[in-house]
Amino acid sequence: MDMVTRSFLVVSGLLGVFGGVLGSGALTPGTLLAAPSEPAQMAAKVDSMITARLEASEGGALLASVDDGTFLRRAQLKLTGELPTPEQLTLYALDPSPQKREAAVERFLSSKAYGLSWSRYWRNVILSRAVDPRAKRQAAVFDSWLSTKLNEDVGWHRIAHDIITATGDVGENGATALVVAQQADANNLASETVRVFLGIQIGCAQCHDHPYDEWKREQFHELAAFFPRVRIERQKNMVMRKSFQVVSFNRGAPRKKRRFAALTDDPRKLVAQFDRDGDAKVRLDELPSRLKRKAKRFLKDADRDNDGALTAGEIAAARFGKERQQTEHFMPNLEAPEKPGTLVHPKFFLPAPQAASVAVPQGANDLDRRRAFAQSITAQSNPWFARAVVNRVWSEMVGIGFVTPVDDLGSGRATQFPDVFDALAEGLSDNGYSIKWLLRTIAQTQAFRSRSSVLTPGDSSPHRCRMAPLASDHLLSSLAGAFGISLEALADARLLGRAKSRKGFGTALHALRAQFATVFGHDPSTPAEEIDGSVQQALWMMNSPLVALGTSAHGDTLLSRLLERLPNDEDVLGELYLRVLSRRPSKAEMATCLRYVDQVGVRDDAFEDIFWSLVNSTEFFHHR
Amino acid sequence: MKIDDTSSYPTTRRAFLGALTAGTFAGCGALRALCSERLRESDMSCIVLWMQGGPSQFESFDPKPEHSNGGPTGVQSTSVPGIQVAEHWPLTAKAMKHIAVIRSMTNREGNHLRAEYQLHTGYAPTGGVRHPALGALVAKELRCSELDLPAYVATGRLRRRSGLGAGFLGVEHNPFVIPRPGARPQNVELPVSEERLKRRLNLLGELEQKFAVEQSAQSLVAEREGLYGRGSRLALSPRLEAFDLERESERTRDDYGRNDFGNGCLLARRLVEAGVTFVEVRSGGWDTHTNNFERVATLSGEVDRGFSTLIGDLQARGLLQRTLLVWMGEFGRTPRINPRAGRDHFPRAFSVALAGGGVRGGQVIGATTPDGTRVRERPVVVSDLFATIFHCLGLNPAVENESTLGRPIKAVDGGRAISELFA
Repeated sequence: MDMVTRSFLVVSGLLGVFGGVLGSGALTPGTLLAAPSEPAQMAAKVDSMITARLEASEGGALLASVDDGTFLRRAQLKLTGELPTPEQLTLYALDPSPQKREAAVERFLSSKAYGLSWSRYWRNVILSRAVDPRAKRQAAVFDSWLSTKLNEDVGWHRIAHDIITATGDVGENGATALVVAQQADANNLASETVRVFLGIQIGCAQCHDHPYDEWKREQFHELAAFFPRVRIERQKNMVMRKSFQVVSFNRGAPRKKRRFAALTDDPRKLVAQFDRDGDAKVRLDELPSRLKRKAKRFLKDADRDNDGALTAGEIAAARFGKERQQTEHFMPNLEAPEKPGTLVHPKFFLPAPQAASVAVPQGANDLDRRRAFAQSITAQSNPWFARAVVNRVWSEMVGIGFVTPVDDLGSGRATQFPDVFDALAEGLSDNGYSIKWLLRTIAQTQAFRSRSSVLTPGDSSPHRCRMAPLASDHLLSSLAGAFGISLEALADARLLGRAKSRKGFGTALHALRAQFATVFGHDPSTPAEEIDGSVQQALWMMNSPLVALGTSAHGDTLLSRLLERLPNDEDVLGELYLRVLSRRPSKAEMATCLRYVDQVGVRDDAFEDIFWSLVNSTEFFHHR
Repeated sequence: MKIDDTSSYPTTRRAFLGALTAGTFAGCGALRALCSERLRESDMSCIVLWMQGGPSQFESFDPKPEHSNGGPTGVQSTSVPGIQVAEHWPLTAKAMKHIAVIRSMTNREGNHLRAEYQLHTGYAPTGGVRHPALGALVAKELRCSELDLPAYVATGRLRRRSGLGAGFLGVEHNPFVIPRPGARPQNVELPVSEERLKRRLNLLGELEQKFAVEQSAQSLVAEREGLYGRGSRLALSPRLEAFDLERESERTRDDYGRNDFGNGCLLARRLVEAGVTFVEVRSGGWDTHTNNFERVATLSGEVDRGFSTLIGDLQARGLLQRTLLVWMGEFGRTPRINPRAGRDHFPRAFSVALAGGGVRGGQVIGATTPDGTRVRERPVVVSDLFATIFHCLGLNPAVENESTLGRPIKAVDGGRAISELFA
C-alpha cells in the first residue's frame, strides 16, 4: 500500500507540474507512459462500435462515466485486488489532470499487486476444476510463477505454452498446476486445456458426439492422444526430499526385465504362443526358461483360481499396475468396454484455416506431442485462443462477457457485440497477446467507465458495468483495507479460527486465503447470475472474530484511533465511509448515522455498530 | 449476483427483524413443538450418501468374482441369502435386510460435472435453465417453515456450482454446507449481545434500503437480507446443539467412525431428529482412475461403517420408516481395468442402494451381464430413480416449479417409480 501511495504521489506530482506548465499541449501525461496510443485507439473504436449497435437497436446509448471515487475503487479492485485507501482517494480526487484515469490504470498495472491478483484469478480458474483436491497446494507456487509472468507482461501464448508443456517438480514449477489438477490424465488434460485456453467445451465428446457442437467422439480422443505420456511420479529430488514431478513417460529401449511383461500386453497371443497342451492356459513348464523367473512372480499374483496356470483373462486382469504402461491413447469401445479400444493418434480438432498444421509422427515422445498441441492452441490462425482470454478479461472487468458462460464459446453461441469481440481478439493477437494491452484498452472504454447496474434476465448486455460479488481474494483484501490491518498481520493472528498454517499450503497467507475461500470462493468460470450468497457467508460477516476485531473501538484499532483523533462525529463518519465504501456519506446516510449515535448514547458502541453495518453492506460486498 | 425481481422486494427493516423475531420469539417453544410434532407424525426426511467421483460398482454392490473384469476383489455374503456384496462391506452386508440394491442403473453421461448435475437434479445439463438439486426440491416441499435450522444441509466438500444448489428455486433453498461435520457451524457465536445484534441489523437494514433505491439493487439487497435473517435465526436457535457430535457417547462416535463421513452420518441422524428435511453426506475420492483396488478398499471401510451404523441407529430410534437413505454417485466405473490399476468413468451400468423410507429391503433390482458391461434386465434410468425417491417421500413428481424465465418445469422429468421396491 505504502509503495502505491508513494508512487502515486510521484506520478500525481508530475502530472500536476505538466498539467500546470504545459497545459494540454503536445507533451500530455499520456506520452510519458508506455505506448498508450494503441489502447486508446482501440477503446475509441470499441466505443463507436457499441454506440452504433446500441443506436441501431434503439437500446439507448453509452452511459455517462462514474465519479472519481467509484472509478478508482473499481479500477484498483479489478486490476490489483485492493481497495483504495482514503489517502489515495483524496489525492486522486484532487488531481486536476484530464489523463488521471489512464495514469491510475498505468500505476496499477505496474504494481506488483496486479500480477498477484490476476494470477489468483487464473489459479482459481484452473484449481476450481481440479480432480485431485491435493492440487490446492499448488496455489502458492502457481501464484508466484504466474504473477511474475504477468507483471513482466509475457504474452499469453507463451504462458499457455508453458502450462501445457510443463514438467518438473510440482512444488517448484508453478506451470505444472494444470497437469497436477487433472492428475496427468490424458482425457482430462484434453478437455481442460481446450476449455481454459480456447473457451471450448469438448469434454462431453469423450463419451458421445457433442450434443450441440459439431465435435465428434473421435476428435476428442485425437486430442487426448497428445497427452498419454504425461505422468506424475513420486521422486526424490536433489536434496533427497520426496517430491512429485511431472515427467514424460516415453517407452525406452526394450530392457531385459521387461521381456515377460511385454508379452502380457496381449494375453491371447501369449496363451496361443505358449500353450502346448491346448487347454487355453499357460503353465510355467510350458514357458521357455528365459521367461520363467519373471513369469513365476507374475503367476503368484495372477493365478486367481490357484490351478498353477494362467488363462488369458487372468493375465489381463493381473496386468494392471505392472511395469509396462501405456504410451499411446486408446479410445474406449463403448459397445465392448472390456476391450482395450482403438489406438488413436494425435490430431488437433479445429478445421484447416484455424488449426496450425503441426504434424506429430506416430510414436512421438511426450514433449513433442505437447509442444505440437501448444502450438496449435496458440497459433495466430486459431481465433479461439484470443477470444477465450478476451471474453474472460472483459467479463472480469465489466461484470459480464460477450458470451456466457465464459468458457463455452463454441460456434453458434449467442454473442453480444460480436464485432467488438472480434476487434478486441484481433487487437490482442496483433499486440503479442499482451494482457496489459488488453486491460489498458478495456479500462479506457466507456463500458468500463459507465455507471453499474444489476444484471437482470432482460438486461445482460456487456456494454456497461455490472454489480458483481467480490471474488474471495478481493473481499479478503478489502476487509483488510477497511480495517486498516495488513493481510500478513491477519494471517499471523490466525483470526479465521482454524486457519493454522496448514502443511503444504505455502505461507500462512496462502492458508488464510484458502480457508477464506471455503466460505467465499467460487469458480471464476461460473456465470454471474449463478453466484449465490450463502448463510455461511452472512454468519461470517456478522459474527466472525475478524470482523469483531476489525470493527472494534477498543485496543489498537483503526476505529479507536479515529475516535480519539476526531472529536466531531461527522468527521468520523466521513472517514469510515471513505475507507469502507470509497465515498462520502450522502446527507440522508449522515443523518441516519448521527441519529443512531444519538440514540445509542455510547459513542464507541454506536460507531462499532456503524462500522459493522458498512462492512456488512451489499455495497461493500460488490464491485460497483 | 441475482436476477432482479422487484416484485418480491420486502421492506428491508421488516424483513431483517421479521426473520429474526421468528427465531428469538420467547414463546415460540409451542410453535416449535407443533412443528416437530408434525414432522414426527407425517413428514418424511431424506439422507443422500454421495460418493463423489463415481463409486465402483464392482467393488461395492455388484461384485463379479467369476469374471476377470471383477478384478481381485472378493465377495461378502449378506444377511439375505443369495445377495452378495464386495468384500469391503461386511457391516453393510449385515444390514442387507433393510437395503434394496439397484444394479441396473444406466445413463449416458460420463463427464463428472455433467453427470453430477444430472444425478443431483434429475435433468441433463442443458444450459439456460439451472435446475434445482433434489435436496432443494424436497426441502421446498417438505420443510417446516417454523424451523430455525436449515431444511437442506450438506456435509463435505461441496463445490458451489450449478446443479448442487437451489438453481432457479432461489438462494433461500440452497444447502447449508458443513465442510467438516463435528462441531457447531462456524460463526454462530455472537460477538455481541442479542439485543445489540438486532440493533445492528436494524441500522444495516435502514442503510441498505437507501442503497437499494439509489442503485436499483433491490433484488441484491433482498437476497442478502434473507441470508442475514436465516443466519441470525440459526445463530440464536436453541437447537444448535443438533450439530454438536460431542453430545453423543464415545461408543456411538466409534460406531459411526471418527472421520468426516462417519461424523457426517451421525450429524445427519441428529439433524433429521431435529426436524431437518434433507441431508447430503459426501464422501470424496471415488474417482479411482489409478490404484482403484486399494483406494476403494480404504474408502469403503469408512462408508461401510457410516452407512450401516446409520441404518441401525435410525431403525433403533424408529426413524427408518420415515427416513429414506440413498447411496449413490454420478456414475459407475469401467469393467475394464486400465493399465494403472484403475477404473475409468462408466455410466452405462452402475449401482445405487436405497434403504428406509418404506423401501422393502433385502432385494436386488435388475442385473448386469456377467462381465458387467451392460444391464441385463430391468434397466433403471435417472428419472426412474428420481420418481422413486419422490414416491418414497410422498411427493408428486409431476409438481411444477417456475423457472427464472417463468417456464413451468416438472420436479421430475418423466420416469416411473420402481414398483418392486414397495411390493
